[in-house]
Order: sequence, then C-alpha cells, then structure tokens
Amino acid sequence: MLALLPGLLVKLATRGARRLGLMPQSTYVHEIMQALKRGDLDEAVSVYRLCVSRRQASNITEVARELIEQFVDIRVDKLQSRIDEIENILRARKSLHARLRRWWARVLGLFGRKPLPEARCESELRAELAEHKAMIEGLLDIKTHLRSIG
Amino acid sequence: MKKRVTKTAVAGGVGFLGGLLLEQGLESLTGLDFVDGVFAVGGSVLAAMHVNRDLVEVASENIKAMFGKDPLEITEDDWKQYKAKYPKSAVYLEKALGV
Repeated sequence: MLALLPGLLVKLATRGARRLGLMPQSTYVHEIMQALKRGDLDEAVSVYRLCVSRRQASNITEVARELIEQFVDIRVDKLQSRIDEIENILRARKSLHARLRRWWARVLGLFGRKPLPEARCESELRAELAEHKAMIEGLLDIKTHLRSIG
Repeated sequence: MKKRVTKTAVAGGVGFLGGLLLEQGLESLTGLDFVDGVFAVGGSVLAAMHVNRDLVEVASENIKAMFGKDPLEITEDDWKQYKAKYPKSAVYLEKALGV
C-alpha cells in the first residue's frame, strides 16, 4: 500500500495542477484539440478558459482559440444554411398556388379527410427555425466570450 | 506533411520506450510502484509532443468543412480568405507545413 503512495501523490499533484491551470499550456491545447475532434465544443471552451485563467495566452493557445472560433463559424454556417432552407420553404407556402392547395385540402377536410399535415409541418418548421436562431445566438456569444477572455 | 507525421510518431515511440525503461529501472531500484504518477506526467509530456500534429489535423478538418475540399486542393484565393479571417492559424500552418 505504501508503495503506491508516491504514484498517488504525483497523480493528485498533476490533477490539482491541471485544475488550477498550472500545467503547461500545450497540455491544455492538446485537450482542446481532442475535444474539437470529438465535436465537444463545451469541453473545448471550458479547457480554454482553464488554460488562460492564470496566464496570458501563448501563441499556440491563440491558435487553439482561432481553431475553436473556426469550429463555431462552421456550425453557424451550417445552421444558417438550414435557416435559409426553412425560410425558402415557408416563403413558398405563401404563394397563391400553395394557398389554393391548402384551401382545397381544408374543404376536403370538411368531408372527413385527415387534418392538414402541411399545417402541422409548418409549425414544426417554425419551431426548428426559432431553435436554430437561438443556437446561432448562443454560438456567437461563445465566440465573443472567447475573445474577451483571450 | 507525411515526413513530419512520421517524425512525430517516431519521436513519440522513442519517448515512450525511454519512459518505459526509466520507469522499469526506477521500480527495480526502489521497489516502489509509481506507474500511475509516471504515466500522468508522461501523458503531459506526450501531450506537448503531439500538440503540433493535433493543431494541424484540426485545422485541416476545419478547412475541409469550410471550403468543402481537401486542404491540398484549396485555391490561393481560398487561402487568402482563410488567412484574412484567421491570421494566427494561417501563419502557424504555414510554419508547421513549411509552406
């Protein structure tokens, strides 16, 4: 049991140093990169915060920050293209042809047809749109936060 | 790029073997088992060694996602656009890849 003590102490010391932001910055940068490879943005940001909590960001840490920002930008672009797609669908539904189709489906609904699936779909699309917009705001906040702490 | 990766892998392997020998030697000399601690410290050292490769890999994935093509296939305009937006990463990549 006593033989394990030095190893345990070293392990605890390194763990404590990591939590206090005392490890070399390259250790944290490595962790940030692993998190980005997994697609874990929250982990990458929290490790970055830890990394710059006690010391000024080194050049390599600045590069890591830019890589996190790139990751954020890629996500924002993807969300934005989905938002554009949804907005196009919703815009198309406002056309005269689409309105007439909906009106006709409603008339048919009076005679025992199923309720309009399109109407349900539209509300789902609007919910998705709102969700994506909120996500973009959150991501841009993360980016601003990263710049302010860097 | 390939040469750099090979060099990093070889350096990592040599470092690992060196660490293993040192650990075995210390264990046999002192009779203490400090595998955990040494691995933790060794992990940090290895992390430092691998940072360069990690950064290049992540940047390469990002470029692929941004421009929809392999980093080797991007045009000069694409690169200029990337450099304008992310100057530090671009300079780092240029240095790391010897561009």
